Amino acid sequence: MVNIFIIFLSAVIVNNYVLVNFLGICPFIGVSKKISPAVSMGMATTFVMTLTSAVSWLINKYILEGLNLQFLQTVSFILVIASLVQLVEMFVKKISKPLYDALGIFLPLITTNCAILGVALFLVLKEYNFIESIIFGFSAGVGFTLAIVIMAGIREELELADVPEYFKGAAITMIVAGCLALAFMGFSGLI
Amino acid sequence: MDQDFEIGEVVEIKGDRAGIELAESDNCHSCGARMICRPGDSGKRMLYLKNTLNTQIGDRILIEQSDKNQLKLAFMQYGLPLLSFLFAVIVANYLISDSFLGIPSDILQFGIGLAVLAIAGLISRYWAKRKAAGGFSVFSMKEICK
Repeated sequence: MVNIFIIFLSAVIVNNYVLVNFLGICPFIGVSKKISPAVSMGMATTFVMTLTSAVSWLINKYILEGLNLQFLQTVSFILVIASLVQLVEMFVKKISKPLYDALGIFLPLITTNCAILGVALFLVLKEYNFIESIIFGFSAGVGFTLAIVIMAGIREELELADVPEYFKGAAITMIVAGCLALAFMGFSGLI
Repeated sequence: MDQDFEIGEVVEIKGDRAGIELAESDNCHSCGARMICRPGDSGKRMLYLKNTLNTQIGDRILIEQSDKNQLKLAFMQYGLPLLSFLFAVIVANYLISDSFLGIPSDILQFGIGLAVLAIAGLISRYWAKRKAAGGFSVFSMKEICK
């Protein structure tokens, strides 16, 4: 239980995928203009990350390790992520068109989110067991959501702030992202 | 702020519903997922909304997006199934520690998690159908742009 709590705390705060490992920066910048889409994106990413970590762990243990094909890890995990996202998209499109119209746009963005591939590769490196892998994937998703929501909150406030002309847009976004990364790096050594 | 707005063009009328093609946002130009965003078609998003403004083909429409409804949908679509999956896998992990009929315990736990995920998906589907019947929508027509 303590081990699971440490994995959770580590992936959410200490080794946050976006602000400490700098993975998944594209959706972090692209979908962080408003809080509501940021939360939706975070939930979708957490969902895919958790399922990916479970499937990747099983594929690695029972197929890649069993057949001594570890060199195919990256290719296999990319395939798992792409297939999973496509399956989720097909499922959502089939069962509920309004849901698909509202949130379907986030799914293709997830396919190209390198944080998800990062999670799949890290859980093999860290030699977690099955349940730890799932908690690790879920925690990484929560960390991603936390980062993107904090960023969205700050960017919403920035809309009202008197930002100097040359800093408007991408420049101030990068500065804010840098400050957030510095703040999160302050947690290193906690665990 | 609870509302967000987008502009789209009516390209199709089907009964009381209008097919609206959403304009591509600036973010799309530099997006890595642009190529796979809508494979096989124009790459633009289509929405089918109730034609409350009696629009015609070619009209440009201001579309309102409700943040609150979007969050509700996001939770029901991703949050509920995910939490159900996690709960089922953790409970299965405590209950099943050995292989059963030669099937490893990890695969059994994953199978149970998937089964519960499917049930949560069905609940989500039922909820979405009931809400859709009650006129629940994330998007709605606000006004025709001049």
